[in-house]
Amino acid sequence: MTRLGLMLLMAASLLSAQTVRVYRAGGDQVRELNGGVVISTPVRIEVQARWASLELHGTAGPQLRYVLRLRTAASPAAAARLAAWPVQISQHMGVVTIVAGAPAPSPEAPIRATLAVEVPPAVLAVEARTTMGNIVADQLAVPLIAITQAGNIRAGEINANLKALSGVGNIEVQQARRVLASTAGSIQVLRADGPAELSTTGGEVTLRKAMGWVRVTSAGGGIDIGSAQGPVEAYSEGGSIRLGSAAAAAQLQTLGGNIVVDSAHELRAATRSGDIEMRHLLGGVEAQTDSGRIQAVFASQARMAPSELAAQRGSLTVTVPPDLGTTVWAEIRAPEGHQIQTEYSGVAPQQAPGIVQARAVLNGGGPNLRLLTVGSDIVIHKP
Amino acid sequence: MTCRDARNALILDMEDLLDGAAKAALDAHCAACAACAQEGARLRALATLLTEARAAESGAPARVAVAWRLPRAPRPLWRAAWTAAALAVAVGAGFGGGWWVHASRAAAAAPGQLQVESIEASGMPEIGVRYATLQQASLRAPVASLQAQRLLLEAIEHPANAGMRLEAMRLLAPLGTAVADAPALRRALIEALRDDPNPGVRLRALEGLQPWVAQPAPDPALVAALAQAAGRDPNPGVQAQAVSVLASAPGSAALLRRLGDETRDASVRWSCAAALHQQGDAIPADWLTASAASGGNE
Amino acid sequence: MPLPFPAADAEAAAAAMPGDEHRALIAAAQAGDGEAFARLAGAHQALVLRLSRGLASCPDDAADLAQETFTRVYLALPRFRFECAFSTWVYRIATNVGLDYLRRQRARRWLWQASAIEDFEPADGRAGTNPERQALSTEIARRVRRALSRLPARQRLAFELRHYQGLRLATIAEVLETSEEVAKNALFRATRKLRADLGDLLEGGAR
Repeated sequence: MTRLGLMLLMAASLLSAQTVRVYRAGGDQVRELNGGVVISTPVRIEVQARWASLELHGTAGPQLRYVLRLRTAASPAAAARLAAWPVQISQHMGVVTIVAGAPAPSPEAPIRATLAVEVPPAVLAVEARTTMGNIVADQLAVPLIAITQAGNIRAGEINANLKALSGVGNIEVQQARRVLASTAGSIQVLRADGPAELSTTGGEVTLRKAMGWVRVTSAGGGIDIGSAQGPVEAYSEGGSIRLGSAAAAAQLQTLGGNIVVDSAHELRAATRSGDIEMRHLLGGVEAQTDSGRIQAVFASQARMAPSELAAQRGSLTVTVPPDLGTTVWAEIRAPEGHQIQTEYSGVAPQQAPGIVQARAVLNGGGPNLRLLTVGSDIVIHKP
Repeated sequence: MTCRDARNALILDMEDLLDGAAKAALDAHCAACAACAQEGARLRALATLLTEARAAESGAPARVAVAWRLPRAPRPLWRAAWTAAALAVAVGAGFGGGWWVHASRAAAAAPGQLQVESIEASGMPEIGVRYATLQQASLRAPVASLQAQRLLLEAIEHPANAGMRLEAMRLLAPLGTAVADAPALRRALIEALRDDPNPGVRLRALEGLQPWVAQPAPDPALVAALAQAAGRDPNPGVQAQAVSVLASAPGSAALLRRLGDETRDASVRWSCAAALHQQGDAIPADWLTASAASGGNE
Repeated sequence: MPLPFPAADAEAAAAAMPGDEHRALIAAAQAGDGEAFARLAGAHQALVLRLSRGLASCPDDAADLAQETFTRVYLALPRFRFECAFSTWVYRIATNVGLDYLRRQRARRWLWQASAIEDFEPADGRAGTNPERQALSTEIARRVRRALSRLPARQRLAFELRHYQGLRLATIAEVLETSEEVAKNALFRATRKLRADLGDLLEGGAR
C-alpha cells in the first residue's frame, strides 16, 4: 500500500470524530470543521495548509483539537464552495499530520481560512507550514518550526526553541528559548532565552533581550539590539545599528548608517557612511567610519586594550577617565583648519606637511589608543 | 597506494590536478577501498558546494552592480595615495575622468545654503542640530518646530552621510503629511527611494512615504515610484516593503495584480499575492500554478 | 555616473578576436588610444570583477578592487611586453591587488566576513522564493565565505584562480609568479583546509 493510501486509511478512522457548523456572521458565510484526537503517546505534529492561516495554542488537556474556520461573502454558491474544503488528520510513525485541504483556487470567490490547533502536553514538537497564510503561535512549551511563504509569523510565549521562516512577511516573537528567524521583512524579538540568529534580506531587526549569543544580518534595514548576554555580531548593508549592552565581544558593521552603542566590553564597529557613538566602553575598541564623526567615552575601571578610532570628514572625540592608563597616538591628515585638542597636559602636537601628530602618555600610560582622522578635529576629554 | 596517499590524491583530484597515471592508481584504490571511495564522494560534494555557494551569492553580472552605484566619497586613509594617482591619470586620459572628478566634487561643500553636520535626538521631543552656513551654528528646538523641520529636510536632501539621512528621515516620519514643507519632503523621499545606494535609506524612505499613499487620491507619480521600487529594486526587502506600502493605497488591487503579472521575480509575486490575500482580494489563478511550480512548500 | 566600460559582450567579442587583432588593440592602447583601452578593459572586465567579488568581503570592496586593478593596468600598460598572455598579465595585477587587500584585512583584523546576503540585481527565481531554501543557502554561503576567508592569502588566491576562474596550473603559476610545484602545493593546502572546515556540510549530501 502506498504511503498515501495508508494515511487515508488512518485518516478515515480519525475523521469520524469531525463535526461541522455553519452559520452567518456579519454578511459572511462561515463554516467550521471541528475535531479532536486524544494524544496518549509522545508524537510530533505537522500542520499544513496552502491558503489557511495557522493558529497554534498550547492546552492542558490530553486532546489535540482543531478547528478549520472558513469565511466567505454570503451567497447561494458560498455554501458549496466552503464545503469543498476538507481537513485531514492522520497518524503515522509517531507523527500526527493535520492538513487543511483546498480545492483549485477560484479567484472570484476569495475565502478566508484559519486552521486553529490546540497542542496538548504529550506533543514533542510542532511544525507548521502554510503557503499563503499567517502563523500565530502562543503558550507552547514545545519546539516550533513555523514556515510561511507569503504570510507573517507571530509568536507569543514559546517555552522552547523557535525557528520561524517566512518568504516575504514580518516575524514577531514575544518570547522563546533559542530563536532562528529569517525573512525578507522585518523581525522583532522581545526576548530570547538563549541565542538568537535573525536574518532578513531587507527589513528592520529589533531584538530587545537575548540570553545567549546574537547574530543579526540585514541586507538593508536598521538593527536594534537591546541587551545580549553573549557575543554579538550585527551586519547591515544599509541602516543604522544600535546596541544597548553586550556582555561579551561585539562586532557591528553597516555599509551606511550610524552606530550607537550604550555599553560594550570588546567592540568593533565600522560604517562606511555615518557617525559612531560609543557611550560606555569597558574594554578595547576598533571603530571606523569613512564619512562621519566618532564619539567614544571610556568608562572608569575599563579594561583597556589596544584600540583604534578612525574617522573621516567628521571629528573624533574621545573621553579618557583619570584612572585609565593609555598611550595615545593621534594623527590628522589634511589638517588645515583642524587641530588636536585636549584637557590633558603634556600633549604637544607636531606639524609636518599634510599631517599633524601627537603622542601622549595619559594616566601613567598603557595600551595604545590610536586616533586617526582626515580633515577633522581630534579632541581628548577628561570626563 | 596507501589510504593516506589516496586521501592526498583525492584532494588533488578534486581540483583536477592529477596526471593520468596517478589518477588511474587512485581509481583502482577507491574501487577496492570503501572508505576512500566515500571520501571521494565527499570531496565531489565539497566542489559542488563551493560552486553553488558562490552562485547563490551572485545574481546578474556584477558589472551591473558596479555601474549603477552613485559616485562615492574619496577612499579612506590608506587609499588616499591611489585616489590622487588615479585622479591625475584619469583626468589626463580623458576616460573615467568623469567618474573620479564627480566623486571629488561630491566630497566638497554640499550644494545649498547650509550643511547639516550632526543631529542629536536623545532628548526627544527636542532635538539638537548642528549645521553650517557661512559660519557654524547650532539650533535646539522641538522636532515639530519650523526651523527644526527645515534643517531636517535639508539633511535629507543634502546629507553629509547616510547615517544623517536616516536619522533625519526617522525624525520627520511621524509628522507625516502635516510636515511644514510637505511637497519638498515627499519629493526628497521619492528621490531617496529611487536613487540612494543604501537599502536602509530606501526602506526608511518607503516608511516616510506611507502617509501620502494612504490618502484618498494618491499622487500618480508617487504610485509609479512605488511600483518601480516594487518591481526593480535590487534589494528583496525593499521590494517586499514597497509592495506592502502600495497595498495601502486605495484601489491598489488592480495595480498589485498588474505588478504580479508583469514581474519575473517570484518573490515579488509572492509579496503581491500576500498583499492581495491580506486584503481579502482574489489572487489570479495562474500565479498559483506558476508559484507552485517554482517551489512552494508542499 | 557609471564606470566607462562597455557592455559585457565585449568580452565575448574579444575572445572571438583573432590573435593579431588582439595584439593590435593592445599596441593601440599602449600608444594612448583611449577607445582601444576601453575596449580592452571591457574585454577583461568580467574576469576582474569575478575575482574581486570572490575576495572582497562586501560588494563595495569588490568594486574598489576592480577599479584599483584597472587603474594599475592603465598605469602599467606601457610596460607590458607580450611575454605572456594579456589576460594572464591582468590576472597577475588583479591578484596583487587582491593580496594587498587580504593582507590589509588581516592586519586590520576586523572587517569580519559578512554573510553572503547581496543587494546585487537578483537573478530570476532567487532563493528567496522558498524561505526554507533561502535560509539554508544563506547559511551555507556564509559558512563557505568564512572558510575561504580563513585561508592564508596566497592559498586563497590560488584556490580562487583554480576553482572559480578555471585557470590551468601553468597559468596560475605565472599569475602568482612562482613555480607550478609551489602553486600546486598552495592549492593542495587550500583544498585540504576547506575540506576540514566544511566537513560537516558534506555528510549526507551537500544539499
